[in-house]
Amino acid sequence: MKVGALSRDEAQLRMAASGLALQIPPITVRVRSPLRFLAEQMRDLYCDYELADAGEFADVDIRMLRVREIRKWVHPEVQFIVDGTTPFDPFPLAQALPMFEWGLNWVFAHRMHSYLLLHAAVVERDEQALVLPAWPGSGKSTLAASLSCRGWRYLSDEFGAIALDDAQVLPFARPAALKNESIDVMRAFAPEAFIGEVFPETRKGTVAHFRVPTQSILRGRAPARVAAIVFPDFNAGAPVSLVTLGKATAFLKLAGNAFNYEVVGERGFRAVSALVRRADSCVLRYGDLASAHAAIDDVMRKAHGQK
Amino acid sequence: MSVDLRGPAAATTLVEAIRNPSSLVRLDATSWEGVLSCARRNAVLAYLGERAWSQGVIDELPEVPRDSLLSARVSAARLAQLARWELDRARRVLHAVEIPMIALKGVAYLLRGMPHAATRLLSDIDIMVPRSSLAEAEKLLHAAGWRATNLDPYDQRYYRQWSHEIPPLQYPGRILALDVHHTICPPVSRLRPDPEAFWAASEAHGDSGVRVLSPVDSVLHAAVHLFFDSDFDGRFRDLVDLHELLAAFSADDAFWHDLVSRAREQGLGRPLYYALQALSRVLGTPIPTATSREALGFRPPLPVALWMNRTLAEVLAPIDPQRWPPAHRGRLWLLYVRSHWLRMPAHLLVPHLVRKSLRKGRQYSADV
Amino acid sequence: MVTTKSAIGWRLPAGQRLLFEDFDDGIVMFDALVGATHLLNASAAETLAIVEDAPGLATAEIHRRLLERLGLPESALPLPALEELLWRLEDLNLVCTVAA
Repeated sequence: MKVGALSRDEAQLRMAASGLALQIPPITVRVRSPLRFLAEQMRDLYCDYELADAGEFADVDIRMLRVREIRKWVHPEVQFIVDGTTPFDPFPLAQALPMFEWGLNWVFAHRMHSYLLLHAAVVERDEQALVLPAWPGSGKSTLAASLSCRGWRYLSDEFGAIALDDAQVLPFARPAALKNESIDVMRAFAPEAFIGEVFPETRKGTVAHFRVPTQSILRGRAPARVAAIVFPDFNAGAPVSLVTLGKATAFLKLAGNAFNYEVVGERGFRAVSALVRRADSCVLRYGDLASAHAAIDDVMRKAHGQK
Repeated sequence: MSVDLRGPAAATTLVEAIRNPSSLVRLDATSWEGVLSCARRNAVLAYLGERAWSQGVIDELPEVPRDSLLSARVSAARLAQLARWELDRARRVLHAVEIPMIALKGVAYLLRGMPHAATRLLSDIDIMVPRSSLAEAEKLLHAAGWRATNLDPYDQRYYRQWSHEIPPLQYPGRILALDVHHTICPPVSRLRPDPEAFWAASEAHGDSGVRVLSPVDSVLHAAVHLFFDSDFDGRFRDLVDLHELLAAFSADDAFWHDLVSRAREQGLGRPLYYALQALSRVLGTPIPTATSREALGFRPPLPVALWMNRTLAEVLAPIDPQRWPPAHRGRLWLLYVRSHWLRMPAHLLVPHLVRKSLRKGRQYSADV
Repeated sequence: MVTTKSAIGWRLPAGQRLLFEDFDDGIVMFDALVGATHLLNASAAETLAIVEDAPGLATAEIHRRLLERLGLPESALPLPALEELLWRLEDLNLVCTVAA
């Protein structure tokens, strides 16, 4: 049964009691919270995801609870609790959703060492995956979100989960966190896309979440071979340019940007090698989405032609 | 099945799984979730994986829990690798001027090749140098790049004046801190073991020149560290260490006798008594009857002993991750007080505690 | 005691394992003992390969073999440059000295 099949009341009741258990391949995440507005926001963003029974095994169990202290009545706060600990300082109560999303990212990055976790957005078309590593100002989330509105399958906004045996990338598809200007850019580019509530003044500026397109979820959890690694570099109004990267350079950039390269050790070294050997790497400087998409088409055509 | 009942049962299942890893094979999905969560909260997830692996049951476990155990082992193994590196870097600096070093606790277990050593979630490595060399060691390490961790002036004074230690050192860009000691107990405390005796009994390890405490002294150090450190959160992990140390050393017949007489000689009988009590109650660690009987001689007055043993067994049992807010606050505070009593002269204790409690920020940090 | 610097011998540290991946724009190496990754140029990579293949060689002999393998004249890679390289590698625990 999908989350969207729950009524508003059912979602709120469930989350407040035994929890809303979301299947977000490769994991199941259970969220318990008395916060009714949070249940509603999650129902919107995760409507296409399958529910697990609250009693089934959950890889991650999260509670979002109000902070119970006298002075918190004036500035109410929410905390993120996993395995009986709070890894972060509390957030303002209204920012429960961004906190949940960032918190889950943190948990995933710290636990999933059966994969090499690149810090990257990933999309796929014609069984060729495109990895978009994250840098400040890269615009990778907006790029990935926009590509998924133009026929690409959305695999992830944050994690390039690379299988250690064959270096294929697996999906971990969750809402993309759009920040500041990208929110309007995305609305203009794809008015049909669902973007959730806007949260001003979070630690990372203004944030809103792009819902993963239904098509991407329906296309399932199949892994994909990485055909291209494109390091995006957004500069408003700048002309588009593609610069090929040497493989050793690409190796170091990719490894340096991964969440757990050092933890995974030798197997990570081999996986990154396989990735940069197999895929074309380049830096894409762009100032608008349409030009970036066209340049990416070129990259993928070239990558496909060589296989 | 109610989610909230998972908590207390999980702690029991965890202890049973540690003692008897084949019990993991029969767990259902709910119990698995509870055990993994509890193990994570108590920083023994990698250790649980090691237990399952060493008893040959890891391949019989369902895929998802098995992956969690293996992922945890990978994380911990990386920290172990970093610990060896940090020790190597410190050794280069100190051995260049012939300052001898004894590796303590986690990094010592690694040097000894103990099976549980690479499952610990280290945040620092501990070494001991002679007291007369402490100032020079600090100077050399500083010159080589280490920096005192960013403490406010009060903490710096606490370290230097009250506890006669240097603050933990951090090499910029590296994850583990380096803690340089000159004795095994906080120097300002009512326990005064003689560092000379520990140096005399220490063993050279391999050809690196780094030394480790003798088996008996390792156990006593672990017992002291368990009870006379000020932070009681997550002590189940330390109890597991003690359990493993005893398992490793108890094959030697003389060990138990030497343990008691060394404790008596160094005035460490009280921590040893509590350690054996807690091990027996929480983990069911096998302890020879003769040793238990002898350790009774180190017991405090009976009412204190009864209260302490009960409290310690509760405090050192695995923390229940499902319980929110976390339990034990009151008891923890009491024990915190007691442990500080042992660390500081009474007239200094109260102002220090008041300051510490005012400054206390994040109390519960993640240990995934 | 005066030691001729070039008479020092070199080997890999005990338990060391080096993994190399050659690319057009550089050689990436994984130090499996420490878990560190390095970008090397050809001379550093060849030096490590020589030390790995023949532990205990003195600096001068490594120098001779290196020039041969890379097809370089002495002027392109003088002995002091190799010494400096070896000490830098030593500092990273990639090689260690043997009493010569």
